[in-house]
Amino acid sequence: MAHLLPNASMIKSIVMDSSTHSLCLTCKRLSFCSLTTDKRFIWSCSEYVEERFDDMADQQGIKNKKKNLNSANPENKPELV
Amino acid sequence: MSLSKDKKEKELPKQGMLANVMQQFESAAKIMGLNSNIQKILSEPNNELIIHFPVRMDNGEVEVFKGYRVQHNNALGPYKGGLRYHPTIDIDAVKALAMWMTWKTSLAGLPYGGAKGGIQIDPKNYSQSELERITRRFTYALGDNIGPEHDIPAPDVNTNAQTMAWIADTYMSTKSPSERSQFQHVVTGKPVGSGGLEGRDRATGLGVFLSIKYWAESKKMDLKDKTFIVQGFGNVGYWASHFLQEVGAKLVGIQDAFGTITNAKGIDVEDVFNYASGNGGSIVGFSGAQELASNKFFGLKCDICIPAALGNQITAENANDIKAFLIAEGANGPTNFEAEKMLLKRGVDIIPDILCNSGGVIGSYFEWLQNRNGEIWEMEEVIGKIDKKLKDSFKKVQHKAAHDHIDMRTAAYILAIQRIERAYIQRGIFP
Repeated sequence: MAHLLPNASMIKSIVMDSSTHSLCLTCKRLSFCSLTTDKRFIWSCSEYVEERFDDMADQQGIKNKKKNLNSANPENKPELV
Repeated sequence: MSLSKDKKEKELPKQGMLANVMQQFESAAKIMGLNSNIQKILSEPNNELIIHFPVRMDNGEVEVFKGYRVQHNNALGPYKGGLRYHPTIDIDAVKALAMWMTWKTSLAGLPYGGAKGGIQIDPKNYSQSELERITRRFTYALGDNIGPEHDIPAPDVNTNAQTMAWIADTYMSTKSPSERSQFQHVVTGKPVGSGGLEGRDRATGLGVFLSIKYWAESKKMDLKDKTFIVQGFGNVGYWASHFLQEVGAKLVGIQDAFGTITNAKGIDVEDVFNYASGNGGSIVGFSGAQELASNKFFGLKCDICIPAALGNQITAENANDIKAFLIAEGANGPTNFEAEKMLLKRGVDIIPDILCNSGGVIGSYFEWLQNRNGEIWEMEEVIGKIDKKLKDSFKKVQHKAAHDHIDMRTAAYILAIQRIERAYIQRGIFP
């Protein structure tokens, strides 16, 4: 039954093109990030997580940004965990 | 092979996430002699859900979103894993991350399996009220594919306590009023006011610190006056540094997305944290340290190195620069395969990620238990429980590594997989 187990060629066939799957692609710190020069293979990043929703409110072009009156946070700022 | 195809292959990074996780699994399976039938089962997730669901936007238009939930394995208990909102998420990424969760929960000795999920979306492009509707509609679409005794999501990239509160509320609303409160533990990582756990914020960083402490105790080493550097000064990096400073260790270097600072005489953790909080999150410009070129960070003279930011940071290029005798992996996969071989050859110890940063998922387990039992735990109680649970895992890994003459990462993977193998052997395969 060993032939049914995944081998190197099977793995190769399921390799993601991580150049299109990195968190860096949408990270606002990308242009000056000093953590990595390889910005293509990042699926977990503590610095990325620090990008908070309230920063996004400052950005232009977001449609109809409204306060969430049902927020659990009294200041309407989502907590990060 | 055409030239363009050849060129394209050369441009590809080291390897994809799914291949990486599969290789780690196969390597451990080979060393431990894993039952081939069980290897077949664990090579594929149990369930893969792809859900398309419509949501009305603030401007009145309807958008259809793609959501994922992959449930890798539940031999040890309900599926457990985060939900991320990111435009590049796809089924392979979710499969890889779900498999990783299976190993992490198993190693931690938790009654959980592994899962992961998310929505293919860039949250930056949506308002808070749109994000709330997207989250609630996805929860409704998932229906009973999640549940407190079946599959328990948690925060991940771009999701937070607020997102979890929306999920819990939506899920509970689908139940009859008399039984709603029984379902609060359908998610973990909730706000403290809505069933969340005191101390969940520091659980991962605390786990990193405790792992270092247990390692030092096993070497009969005092952490007082030991020097350490930390990459990433987010939740994990800050709390690990905070606890290390409390026992007298000295922070001598920090690297974050903005830059690198160092001071051989020591950097006060609280001072730099307060500085960064008022400086847009950046440590650069802190008066108690000097700036350093980012490529010099891992070469800083220190005893302990804590990569707590992102993956693939310690590579063959910088592994020999590292002066530390211990690497504690606060991030997921910070040390690549080649670098690890070089470091182990030089006698550097590595506390592997699935052990070192498992404080977070252990914290989630206690939140789940707290809700399930209708209790409210205090911070000291939570910290004491994480300490006990993590110590147990750490001792087992260290004993396995010493007994089998293998490194701690291989020992951790083997222990995690063995626990699942045992469950399958005891239960058998239905029918």
